[in-house]
Amino acid sequence: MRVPCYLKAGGAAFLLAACLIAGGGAGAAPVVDAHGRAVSVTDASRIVSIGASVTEILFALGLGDRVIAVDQTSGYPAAARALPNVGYARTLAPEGVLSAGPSVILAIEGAGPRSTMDVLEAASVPVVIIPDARDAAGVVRKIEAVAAAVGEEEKGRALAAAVEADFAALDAAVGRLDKRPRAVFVMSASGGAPVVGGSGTSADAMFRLAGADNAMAAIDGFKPAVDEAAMAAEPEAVVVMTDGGQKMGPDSIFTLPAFTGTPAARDRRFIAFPGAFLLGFGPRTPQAARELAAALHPDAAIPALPERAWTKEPAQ
Amino acid sequence: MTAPPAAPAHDTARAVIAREAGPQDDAASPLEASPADAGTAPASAPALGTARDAGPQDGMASASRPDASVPGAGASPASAPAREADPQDHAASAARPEASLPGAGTAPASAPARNILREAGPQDDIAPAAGPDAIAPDAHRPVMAGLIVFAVLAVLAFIGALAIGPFSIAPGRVMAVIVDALSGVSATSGAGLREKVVVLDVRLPRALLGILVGAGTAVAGAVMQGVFRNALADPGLVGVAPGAALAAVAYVVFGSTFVALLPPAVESLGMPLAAFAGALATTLIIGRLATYDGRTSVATLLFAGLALGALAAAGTGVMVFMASEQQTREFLFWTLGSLGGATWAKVMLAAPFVIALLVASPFLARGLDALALGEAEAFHAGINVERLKRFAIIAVAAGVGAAVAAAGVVGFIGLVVPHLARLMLGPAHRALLPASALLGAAVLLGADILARMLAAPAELPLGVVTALVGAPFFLWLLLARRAFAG
Repeated sequence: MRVPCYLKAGGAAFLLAACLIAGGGAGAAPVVDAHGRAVSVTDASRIVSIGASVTEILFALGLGDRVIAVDQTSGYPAAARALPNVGYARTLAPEGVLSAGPSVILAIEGAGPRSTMDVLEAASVPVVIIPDARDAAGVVRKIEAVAAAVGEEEKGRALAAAVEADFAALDAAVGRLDKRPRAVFVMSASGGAPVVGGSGTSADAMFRLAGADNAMAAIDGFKPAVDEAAMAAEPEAVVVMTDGGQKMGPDSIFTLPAFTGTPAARDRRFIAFPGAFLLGFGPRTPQAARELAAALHPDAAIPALPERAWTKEPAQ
Repeated sequence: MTAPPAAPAHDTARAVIAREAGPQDDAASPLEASPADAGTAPASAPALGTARDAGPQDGMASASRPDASVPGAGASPASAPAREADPQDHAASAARPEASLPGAGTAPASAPARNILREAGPQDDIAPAAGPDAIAPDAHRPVMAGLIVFAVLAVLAFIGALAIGPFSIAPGRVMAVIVDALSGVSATSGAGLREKVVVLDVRLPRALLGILVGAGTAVAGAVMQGVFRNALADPGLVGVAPGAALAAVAYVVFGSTFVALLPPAVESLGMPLAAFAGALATTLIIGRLATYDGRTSVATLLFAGLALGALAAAGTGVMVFMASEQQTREFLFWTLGSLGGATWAKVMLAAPFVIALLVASPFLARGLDALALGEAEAFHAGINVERLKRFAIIAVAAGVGAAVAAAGVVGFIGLVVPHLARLMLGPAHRALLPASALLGAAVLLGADILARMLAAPAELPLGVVTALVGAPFFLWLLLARRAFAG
């Protein structure tokens, strides 16, 4: 393909400028990503962001204008939804991602399939895998990893400090609670046995942050639960995602045999949050955990966390 | 090598069996057949059907040409592996080596056999067909004994399904709760209330749904095997499972828009209703495609079923591709089957259709027995073959559609339970259909007890349990029979 030379020159100048901005002038020190690969990012001006929390972090860092495409799970902030979409985070196609023309790809650990990630990692565009997280320290690491990958360590430290402070405030508030309600996270319940979040899941980690016990901790991962076992666990609240496969409401949940006669059904304690907000483990997680804690402890007064630039939009 | 030309009644009866079991029994027994043969079996089934569909010349022509081993074997070489891979044939040939008649010998004998069938009626169908071998000339008693054994198994499984679960309740308390409920006493204490809820609202509907799903699926399998005259047939062949799966996954992906249209009371029935509609629609389309000029061709039925099944599977693939990970997971668990989430509403939804199939099945028995000889033979025996086939397909679609809607796709039961029943009671449908119903219910309830206990409090998918426990048992049975019969 022939390219007019002035464009080439322009492109080169742009690249150089981008390199200077991105690398903070220090040249590109390679970052080690979650797959243990050392990746040199020379140009972070056109980012494809894969994973809801990665996109949120980029926008929270104030780098939203550098993001040129996102995956389907990236629904927050609204500006991210308006960007071109490269498909679902776990069923990516190499060409779909590369056709957006990125200078760097940031992907959450677990993005896939594996074969696509292999192709992307072998392609000339640098790919940085961001380690996923299930706790406060992990979220901070995630923020630092994203910031390092795009050469914005300074901004990263500021965001990480703010999120850390929010987690500390959350811990203090939750630590004062004298009761730990038993809650169950229901992923889907349209046919057969309800699929619940057992131990080792993101839902389990959120319950811990919100000062609640996972009633289905005896199950490992997201699995269908035996109706009468869910009943025997006596959950006091049922937590679901508003944007899951099926719309779940208190009427459909509490008529299931699994929850008949449970304290949750008696009190009709049904809690629904958007999936990325509740289980995303991004910069909004302290606020999400605080909301969840408030819903799980309706009698306790839990102070609100300070509003941040990255929590201003209504939860998605 | 050949049946005596002037066969006494007993030998004629044996000839009936030989024909039912297929003229190729003299060939290698099924287990000596190569895996390739077994693999070709489903594909060769239409050839088999076509050859038999060819009609009167099947029996007649060979009767006039005693040298020809034509029926089946000559007309369609492809049918041989199908029959060889067929355990039913093995059962017959293994138990009765002397019945291993080549086609030439069988064909002439089949004419008197037909007459006997027509004149003596269904009672005599059973005697020759169901009698395990010459040792038991009076075959009624073992058949009755077998049915009683299956009924006892089903009752035991039902009691187990009520008494066993991760929420431990003493068996005495289970009894007390049921007696209280029957006599209208309401529990007062908190603990009593919990037990009452578990027994009456969780286990009882679940056990009843298990009976409906198990019995319905197994009887449908037996009927399909009869209609296709192939022991490898199952309701999936006429598109029940693929059609239901497509509708179910479509509901998972797009359902939230439709749920708004449903009244809240039936919201939880959205997926079962969708699956039922999908199963019924697919099967009726396939039946329609296979019917031309008032005749339903079994071969076309099979091919149309394969084609539409593939189409539905492709549609399912598209849906899975569009689905989120969560939706994919939801659908995956559905395809593996589960009695979880059983409610009285689901029992009420499935019951009319499954009961219709169970009630209809005895009326199909005589026709299916006659059909085993071939469509032309059944016609000459006074069976309205076209009506029989249409009736059977509609009954199977409704019954299995309802079962799949209520519990997802529970594999293995429809294929193997009829086999087990046939191995024990013989191929006559009068005994086979009720036996399949009882055994199907018992096996499904037993599998469900394992599904909810093995990984408690998590639930193993039911289809996984039925295959994991049932398939090795079935293999063992086959091998044991081979060792026994030589």
